Amino acid sequence: MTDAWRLWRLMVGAQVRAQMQYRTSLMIEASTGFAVTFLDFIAVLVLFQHIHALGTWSLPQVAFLYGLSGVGFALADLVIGHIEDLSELIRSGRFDVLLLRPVGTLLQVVASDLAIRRLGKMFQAAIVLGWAISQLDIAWSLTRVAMCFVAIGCAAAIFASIWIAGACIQFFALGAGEIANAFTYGGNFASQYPVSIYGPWVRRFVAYLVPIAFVAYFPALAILDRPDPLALPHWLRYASPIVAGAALGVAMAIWQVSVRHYRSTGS
Amino acid sequence: MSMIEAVDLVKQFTVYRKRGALRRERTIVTAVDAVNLSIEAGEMVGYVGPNGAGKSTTIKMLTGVLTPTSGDIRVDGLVPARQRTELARRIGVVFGQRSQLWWDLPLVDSFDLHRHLYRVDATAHAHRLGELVELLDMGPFLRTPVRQLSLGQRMRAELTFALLHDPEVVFLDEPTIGLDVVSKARVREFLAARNQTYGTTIILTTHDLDDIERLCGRLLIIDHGRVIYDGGLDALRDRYEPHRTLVVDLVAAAPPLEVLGTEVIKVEGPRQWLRFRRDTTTAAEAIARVAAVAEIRDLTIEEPDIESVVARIYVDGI
Amino acid sequence: MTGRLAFELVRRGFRRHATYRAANFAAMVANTVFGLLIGAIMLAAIRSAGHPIAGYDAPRVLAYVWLAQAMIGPVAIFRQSDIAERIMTGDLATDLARPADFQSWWFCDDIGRASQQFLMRSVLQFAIGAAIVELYLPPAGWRWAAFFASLALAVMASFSMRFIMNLLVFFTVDGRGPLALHTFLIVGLSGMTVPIGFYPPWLATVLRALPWYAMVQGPIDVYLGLRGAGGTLALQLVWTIVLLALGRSILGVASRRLVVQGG
Repeated sequence: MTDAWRLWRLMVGAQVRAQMQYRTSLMIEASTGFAVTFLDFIAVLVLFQHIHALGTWSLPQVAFLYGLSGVGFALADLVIGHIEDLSELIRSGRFDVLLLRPVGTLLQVVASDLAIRRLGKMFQAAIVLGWAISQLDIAWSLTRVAMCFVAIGCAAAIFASIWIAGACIQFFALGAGEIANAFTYGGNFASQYPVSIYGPWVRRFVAYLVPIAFVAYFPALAILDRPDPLALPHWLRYASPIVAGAALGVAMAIWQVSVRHYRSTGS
Repeated sequence: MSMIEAVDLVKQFTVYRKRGALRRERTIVTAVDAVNLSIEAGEMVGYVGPNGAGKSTTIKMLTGVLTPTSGDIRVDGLVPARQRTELARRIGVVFGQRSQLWWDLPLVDSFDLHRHLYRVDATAHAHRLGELVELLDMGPFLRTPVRQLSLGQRMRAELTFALLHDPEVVFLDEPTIGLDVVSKARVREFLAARNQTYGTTIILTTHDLDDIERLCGRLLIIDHGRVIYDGGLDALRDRYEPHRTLVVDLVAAAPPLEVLGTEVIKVEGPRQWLRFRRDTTTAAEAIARVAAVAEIRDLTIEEPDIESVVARIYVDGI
Repeated sequence: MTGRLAFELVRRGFRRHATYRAANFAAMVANTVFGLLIGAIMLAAIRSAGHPIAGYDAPRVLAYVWLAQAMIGPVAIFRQSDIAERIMTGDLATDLARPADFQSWWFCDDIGRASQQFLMRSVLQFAIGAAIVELYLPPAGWRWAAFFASLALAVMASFSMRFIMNLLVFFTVDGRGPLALHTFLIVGLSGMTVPIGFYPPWLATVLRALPWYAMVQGPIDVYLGLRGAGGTLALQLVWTIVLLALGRSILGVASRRLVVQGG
C-alpha cells in the first residue's frame, strides 16, 4: 500500500513538474473551468428565483449539496479524471507498454497525470459550499467538521469508482466511452439536488446501483441534521464511508476483469 | 530447464466483419498455431517472419501482454499470463515503434522513475546507469525531453531502460528500424557485447536480416502462425541456397566463360558472375578453373545473403 | 461553388460522421440519462412552485429538456474544432489554396454533419423521451414546419459562430483559448442549462437579442409557441448572415497574413 502511494507520488510529481512549464495555459484552463462550472450554479440560482424550496430543501441547503458534491467531484477529477483518455491509450498501443512494467495497470494509469487545471472547478465548488455554510444554522462541533471532510473524501472516492468502472467500457467497446459521462458528469449533476425529488426508479438507481445518494444527500442529512422526506433508515446517513469503500472495491474488481479480457483479446 | 519454453502455443482471435447493414460475420483467426520453442539461457535468437505471421503475437504472449488460447509458456520459470508483474522485473523489452519512456520529461527522469518502478537498489542502479550512459554515449542528451530526441538517441535510451534492472531475458522488437548505418552498427555491437559479457538471453524480432546475420547464431522463422525453421544460419544457407557466386573482373570483356562446375548468371562488360554449388565445387577449385581459361584482374566470392534465402522461403514455403 | 460540389460535400460530411456508430450510441445514452435527470429537477421545481414558471408547465418544461438534449448533436454544442485543428497542424494554407470557397466548403460539410446527427441521434433521443415522459407536442402542423426551419437556421447560426471562433485560433498562441470561450458562451447564453424565460425579464430580453439565442432557445421557443415564430426565424436569419459575413472578413485577414508569412 505504501509502495503504491510512493510510486504515485513520484510519477505524478514528474508529470506536474512537466505541466508547470506551461503556467499561463494552466491558468487559462483553470479559470475557464471555474467559469463553466459556475454556469451550473447559476441555473440553481435562477430556479430559486421562482420557488422557495425544492421539495423541502431551501436554496442554502441545495447549495450545500451542490458544494459538497462539487468539491468531491473536482477532487476525483483531479486525481483520476484523465482515465477517460483510456481509449487513446489503447488505440495508440501505449496500454501494452503499461503491461510490460512490474506495476499494476490501474495504478499506472492513475499516476500518469494530476490535472492541476481542475483546481478551478474545486475552487468554485468550495466557494458555493462556503456560502451555503454561512447561510445555514449548523450546530458545529468537532465531529461535524470531521464529517464534512469525511463526506468530501467519500464523495471523491465514489466518483473515482464511477470513473474507473466507466472507463472499463472502453476495453469492450472502444468508441463508446461517452456512456461513462452519463454516470460521472450525470452523477455529479444528480447529486447536486436532493434525491427526494426524483421518482422511485431513479432513487433506487442512485442509491443501490450507482451510489450517488451517498455522495451528498445522506451526508448532508447528517451534517445539517434535518429530516429525510423519504423517511429512510437513520443509519444510512453515516454509511458513506462503507459505501465509498465498497464502491472502490467493486470498481477495482471490474478493472481487473476488464484488463483480463483485454489481455485475451488483444488490441 | 530452458530460459524460454513454449509448448503447443496457440492464440486465436475472434474477428467480426460486417455483412450488409445488420448482420455480422464471425471468423476465428489463428495467429499462432501450435508453436514450440525452447531457448536456453545466454542464447541470442532471431525471430523472423513476414508481416502478420504471428511474430508480435508470440512476443506479446511471452512477455505477458497477451494470454494464450492454449498451450504452456514458461519464461525464467514463470508463467507470463499469471505472473505478469513478477516476470516484468526479470525481462527487458524494447518495442521499436512504441516508447517506454516518459515523453514530456527529460530523459534522466525516465531512468529515475525506472529505479522506483523496478525497485532497483540505488547504488546498483546508479552504477549500471553510469556504465550504460558511457557505453552508449548518452551524456550529451540526458537532460533533453524524450520527445525531442532523434530516433537513434531514443533507441539507445530505450535499450538502457530495458537493461537497467539487469534482466535475464531481453525482447527486442525491431530495435534498429529507421536507424542510420552508424547507429545500427553501434546498437548491434552493444547487443553482441551484452550477450557475451552478461549472458543475457536475447530474442530479436526484426525485418532487417543484416541484424540477424551479424548477431544471431540461431534463427526461428514463423509463417502463418507456425514455426517453419528453427536452427543455425549456416544450416539455413546450406539447405536453401547451396550456391555461392564467384565474381571475376577480367582484363578484357569476353563472352560468358564456360567453366566446369560453374554457371554464368550475369555479365557486365569485363565483369562476370559465376555461380557454383558449394557441395560439388570448392571456391579454390572454381577460381583455379576460371584462371585457367581467362585472365583475371580481380575477384570476390559472394555468399548468399539471408535476405534472399528467407525471401524465397516466404514465397515458396519450406 | 457549384450545386454538385455542395451536394457532394454534404453527403461526405454525413457519411464521415455516420461511421462513428459506437460514439453516436454512447452520446445518445448519455443525453438520454441527462434528459431524465434534468427533467426530474425541472418537474420538481414546477411542483414546488405550484404553478407554471414563465409559461412552462410540466409538459412544456419536459419538452424543453428533451429538445435541448436532442439539439446538442446537430447544433454541435460541445464538439467543434475541425477547422481549428487544421489551423494548428498548419493545413490551413493548403485548404485555402483549393479552388472552392473555404467557408462554403465547411458550411456544406457542417450541413452534412448536422443532418447525420439529426437523423441518427436527435430523432431517436427525442422519440425515447416522448415515449417515457409526457412531453408537449405542438398541435398544429405549421408549427412543426416552423420548428424544423428554425432548427435548420440554428445549425447555420451555430456554424457561423463556430467558424469565427475556430478561425480566431489562428491569431492566438494556444489554440484552447477561443474554443473554451466558445463553449462557455454557448452553454451559458443559449438556454442550454435553464430556459431563458426563467431569467429575470430584463436579462431574458437581452439574451433573446444575442446570436446564441438563435442556436438553442430560439427553436425551442418556436416549438413551444411561447414566442412569435416569424420574429424568431427572422432573428436567426439575420444573425446567421451577419456572422457569416464577419467570418468571411476574418478569413480574409487570416489569408492575407498567411500570404505575408509564407504559410
